Amino acid sequence: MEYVLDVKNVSKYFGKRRILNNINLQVKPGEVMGFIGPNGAGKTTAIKVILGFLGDDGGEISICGYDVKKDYEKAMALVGGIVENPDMYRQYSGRLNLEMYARTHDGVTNERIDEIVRLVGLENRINDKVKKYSLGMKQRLGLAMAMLHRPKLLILDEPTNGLDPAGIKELRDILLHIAHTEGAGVLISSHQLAEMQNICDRAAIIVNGNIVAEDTLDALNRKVSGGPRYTVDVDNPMEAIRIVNEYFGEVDPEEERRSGSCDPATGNLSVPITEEEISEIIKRLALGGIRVSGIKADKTSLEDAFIAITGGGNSIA
Amino acid sequence: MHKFSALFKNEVIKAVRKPLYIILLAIIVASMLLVGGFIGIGRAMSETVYLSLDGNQDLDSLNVKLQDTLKDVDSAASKAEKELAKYYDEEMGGFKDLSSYDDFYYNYYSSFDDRMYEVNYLLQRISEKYVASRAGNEALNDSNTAGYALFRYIRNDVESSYYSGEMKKISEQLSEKYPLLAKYDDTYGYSSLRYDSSLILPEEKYNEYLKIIVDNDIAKVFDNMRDDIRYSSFLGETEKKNQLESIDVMQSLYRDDMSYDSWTDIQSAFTRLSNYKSILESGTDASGVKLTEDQKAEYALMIAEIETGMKVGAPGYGGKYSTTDKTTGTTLIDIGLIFSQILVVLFGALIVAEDFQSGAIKTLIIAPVKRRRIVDAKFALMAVLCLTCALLVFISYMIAAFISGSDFGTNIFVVGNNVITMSGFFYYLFYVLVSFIPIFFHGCFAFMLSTLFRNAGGSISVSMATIFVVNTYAATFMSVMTMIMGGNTYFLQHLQMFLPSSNTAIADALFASSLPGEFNLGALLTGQLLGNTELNNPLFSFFYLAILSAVFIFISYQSYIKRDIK
Repeated sequence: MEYVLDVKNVSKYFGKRRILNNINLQVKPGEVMGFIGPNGAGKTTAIKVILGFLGDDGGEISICGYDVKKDYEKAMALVGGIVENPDMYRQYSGRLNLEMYARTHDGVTNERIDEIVRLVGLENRINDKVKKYSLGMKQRLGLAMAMLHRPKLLILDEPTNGLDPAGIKELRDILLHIAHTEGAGVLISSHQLAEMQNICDRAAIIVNGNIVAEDTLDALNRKVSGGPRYTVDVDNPMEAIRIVNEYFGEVDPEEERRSGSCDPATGNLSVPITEEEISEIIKRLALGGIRVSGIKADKTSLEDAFIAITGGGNSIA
Repeated sequence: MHKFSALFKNEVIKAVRKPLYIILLAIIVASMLLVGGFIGIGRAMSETVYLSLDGNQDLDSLNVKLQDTLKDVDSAASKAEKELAKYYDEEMGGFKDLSSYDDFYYNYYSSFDDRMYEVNYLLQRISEKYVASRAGNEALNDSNTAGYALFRYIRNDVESSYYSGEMKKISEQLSEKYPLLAKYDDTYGYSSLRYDSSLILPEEKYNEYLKIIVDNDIAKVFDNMRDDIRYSSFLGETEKKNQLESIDVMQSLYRDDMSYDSWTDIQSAFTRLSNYKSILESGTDASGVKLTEDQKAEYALMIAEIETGMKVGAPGYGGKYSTTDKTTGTTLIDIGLIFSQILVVLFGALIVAEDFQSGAIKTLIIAPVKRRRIVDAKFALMAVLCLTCALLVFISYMIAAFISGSDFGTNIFVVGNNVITMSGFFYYLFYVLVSFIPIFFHGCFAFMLSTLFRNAGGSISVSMATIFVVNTYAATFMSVMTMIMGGNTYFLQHLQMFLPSSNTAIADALFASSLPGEFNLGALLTGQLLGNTELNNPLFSFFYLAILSAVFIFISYQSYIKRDIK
C-alpha cells in the first residue's frame, strides 16, 4: 500500500459551477499532509467528496487501496474525520455520542473509548451533555470520535478552530504521534499557517478548485524563494554581501546562482542558504573581518509560499 | 446485518431519549384510561341520580311548583275570562273589532299563555322523573343491553302519555271552569287548551306500560307492540300481517344480554329487508329508475343475506350473538389512534430532518455504513413504533374498557350463507391493527418529506398540514372540482376514489359497515368479495395506500442515498 489516500482526477460541479477541477492528492502512511487554500478554494468540498458526503463528477478515490465506490464500507472503516465543525448530538453526553459512533465500527471496546477520552483530555467532562461544551471541547470530542477506531487515514477540516494555544500544541503532539508512531496518514486543512508549518510534512495548495502545488515544505519554500532563508546580523552589510555572493559564485551553477540581500532599514543581511551551509558562511564572514552578532531562520516561509502561489490576493484560509 | 442492528440500536437510543415521544406515548395511554374512567363514572353517576330519585324528593318539589303554577294559571284565566266577556261578541262568535283583540291579547291572554308554558315544562319534567324514579334504576343498571333500548322506547311512550294525559286533564278543567276562554280558543284555533289526543294513551294502557318497566317484562313489550299494530287505524290488513310476523321474529331474536348495537342492528335490518323487498317487487329503485338484471340479482342477494342472518339470529352484522359494546370500544380506541397518528407523523417528520439540522448527520455519513442501511434502520424503527403504539392502544383499551364497565363480548358476521362468530378480543385487536395501516401510510409520507426537506420545521408543518388540514378540506376540493367539471361524473367519481383521504378510513369501512353485500370484515374472513359496489372498498384502499406508501418509501431512499450532503 503506497498511499492511504489516493485521489485521482476528481472533479465536482455544483450546478454549472465547477468547484473541483481534476484534483490529485496523495497521502502516504505516516505523514501529515497540509491542505491549504483561500476561502472558497474547494478544501471542504474536496474533503466532503473524499468522505462520501458529496458524489464526485468523475475521478477515482481510494483509501488504503479500497476504491470508495466499490468497497465503500471497507474504505470508510479505515477513515476518521471531522468536517467543518465537529457537529454531533448536542442533547446527549460526549460518551453516548462516542458509544453510538463506536457501534458502527468493528472492535471498538469500552476500554478504547476510555483511552481515547484520556488522550484528548476530556475525562472530566465526558459525561456532560455536548451542548454544555465549549468549541474547543467539541473539537477534542470530534477528534476523539475521528480517532476512536484507529483509522489509517485521518481527515481533519480546520481542527484548530476554537483551540487555545495549549490545545493546539496538544493537537500537534497527538497528530504527530498518530502519524509518526502509529503510521497513519493525516490530511489536515487549516488557516493557521504557522501551525501547519510545525505539523505538516507536506502540503498541497488549492486555488479555485485546482491543486497548484503539492510538495514537502522545503520544496515549496524553494519554489518560492529558492529555498530557506536566514537573517544574519552583521556590522558591515555591503562587505558581507560581497563575501556571500563570492561563495555563491563558487558553489552554484551560473544560471541558478543565489544572491544575498540587505534590509536597508535594519542593515541585516538575508541569505538563501541551507542549514548545512551556515558554518561555512560564518567562517567566510569572520575571515573577511565581518563581526557576526546573530543568525536566525526566516519562519514565514510557508506563508510566503502560499501568498506567492495563490497570488496573495485572497485572504488566507 | 450487524451494521443494521448497530444503526437500529442507535435510533432506538435516540428515540427513547426524546421527551416528546415519551410524552405522546403517555398521552395515548392516559387519554384512553381517562375517557374510560369518565364513561365509567358517568354510568355510575346516572345510576346514583336515579337511585336518589327513588325518594321522590325532586318529584315532590316539582309537584309543589306545578300546583303553585296552576294557581297562577287559574287567576290569569279568571281575569282573562272576565275581560273576554267585554270584548267578545257572543252572537258574532268573535271579537268586536281587531283593536279589541289586540288589547285583550296583550293585557290578559299573554300572561295566561305564559303560565301555561310553565305548566307544560313542569309536566314534562315530572313525567320524566316519574318514570325514571320507578324504572330508571333497574334499566340503567344494565344500560348496554337491548333491554335499555326497549326501555327507552317504552319510557318515551309513557313519558309522553303521562304528560299528555295530565295536560289533557288540566285543559278539560280549564274549559269547564272558563267556558268563554275555551270557546275563544276554539274559534281562533289556538292550541293552548287543546292537546292532540293521539298522543294520549288510555289510562289502563299507561298503567300497563309502567308495570312492564317496573317488572322489566320484555314479553309484554312485544305484546304491546302487537296491540299497537292490531288496533292501528293507519295500517292496511297486509301491512298489519307483515308487521305482526316481523314482531314474532324480533321477539325470537331478542336476548337479555344482547348489546344495544345489536338490537338497533336488528331493527334496521327489518327496515332494510322490507325496503329491498318492495324495491325488488316493484322493479324500480327509490328514484323510479328501472332495475337492471344485475341490480335485481344484487338485491336478491342482499335479501338472502339478511334472511340467512335472521335464521341464525344475526340480521345485521350484530345480532343474537353480538354482545360487543361497539360504541364504547371504538370511541376509546379512536382516542388512542388520534395521538398515535400525531406521534408517528412527528416521528417520521423528525427522524431524518433532525440529523441534518443538528449536523449529527456527519457522524452517520462518516461511519462505515451505506446510506441505504441508515434508511433501513430508520424505517424499521418507524414500523416498530407503529406496532408499539398499536399494542399500547390495545392494552390501554382493555384496561379502559374494564374501567368503563364495558367488555369484549362476541361478534357475529353474516356473509352470504356463512356465519362467522368472533370474540370481541380479536375483533378489537384486528380493528386496532387495521387502523394502523393509514397511520403507517401517513408516517411514510412524513418520512419522505423529512428526507426531501432535511428540515424539521418544514417536514412537520407540511406533513401535519397535509394530513390534518388538507384531508379536512378534501370535500371542499371535491365540490370545487364538481363546479369545474360539471356533469363529468366518471371523472369526479374516480378523482374522489384516488384521493388519499378517501382511503384512510379502512378500519371504519371494515368494521362499522353493517349493510349486507358490502365488503367488510366478515367478507374478508371468508374470502368473499361479493357486491363491491362501493368504489372505495377497504380492499382497494389497502392496496392503494400500500402502493402510495411504497412510492413514498422509494422516494425517501432515493433522496437519502443520492442527494449530496452539503
